[in-house]
Amino acid sequence: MLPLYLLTNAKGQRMLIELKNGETIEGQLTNVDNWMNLTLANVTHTSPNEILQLPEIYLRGNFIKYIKLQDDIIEKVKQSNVQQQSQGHHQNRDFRRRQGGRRDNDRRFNQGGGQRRHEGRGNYNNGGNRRSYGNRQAEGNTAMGGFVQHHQTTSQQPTPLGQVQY
Amino acid sequence: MPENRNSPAASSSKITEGEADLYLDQYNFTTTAAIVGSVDHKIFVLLRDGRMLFGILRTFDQYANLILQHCVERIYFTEENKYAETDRGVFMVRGENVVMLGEVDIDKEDKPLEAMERISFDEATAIKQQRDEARFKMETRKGKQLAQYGLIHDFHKSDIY
Repeated sequence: MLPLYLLTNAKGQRMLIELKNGETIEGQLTNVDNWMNLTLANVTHTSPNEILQLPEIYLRGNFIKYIKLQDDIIEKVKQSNVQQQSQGHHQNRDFRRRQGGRRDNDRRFNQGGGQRRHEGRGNYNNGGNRRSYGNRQAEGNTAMGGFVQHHQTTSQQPTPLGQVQY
Repeated sequence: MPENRNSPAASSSKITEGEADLYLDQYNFTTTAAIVGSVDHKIFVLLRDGRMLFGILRTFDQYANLILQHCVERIYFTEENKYAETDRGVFMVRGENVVMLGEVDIDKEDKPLEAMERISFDEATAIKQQRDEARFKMETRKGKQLAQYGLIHDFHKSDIY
């Protein structure tokens, strides 16, 4: 578990950030990126001369000295990890195992209009593939996924190779 | 499993601490990977602004970003034989600000502190700030003098460790 991973899982928590120049910012974390740039909400910015209350702030990761996180953060992230692994991931992994690496080939075979000549088993396999592929998109994520689904339902064309690979 | 301890399968699944140390000793890590052996141990970290942090290293990455749990910040005044400390909880230190870090022997850690007088942390911060400012003035003066000889004195306010 890398430090930044811990931080991304701390979204929504309040934290105190000290900047390199010694000023401090205290607020609720709304977002983090790979460069440790942060966006915070309900912020109190404390500098030697003044104290500012701000509804929202963007902070360049570069300028951070340290972050004081909540004491229970490590336990919380560990727990949510375990939960994720026991729920969401499971179905997906299972699905991939069932499909194996064969899908790619099946599709290529069927492309040449020789669908009828294939023995029933091959076809059956392919049908299964198409259905579950649809399922996967229904889980819904990228714009690409949506595009492929549309493509398939209208013209029954095989998926482009790039889409099938993982 | 225990009988074929040396087989690759066994060593990749579970290795003892001793085996891990043996493995680590074989390589001269010069990058951040060198501190992998200190994970879950109590370490000391010196920051560029002169802060000293003591805490349990939970994780780190290639930039030496650190997560310290049960973190304590200490200020030492060795001349006066005084120190101050305050609890900081869970700390995430950005790697850029780390000067050095090392493992602390928890059995011997408190020995020197027993001989020292503990003062309040606020008091200590005030004294430290005063001294830092004095040091800054002194270094600036030194820099100006050296500049007269055409020499560079590399000093920055944020590097006060």
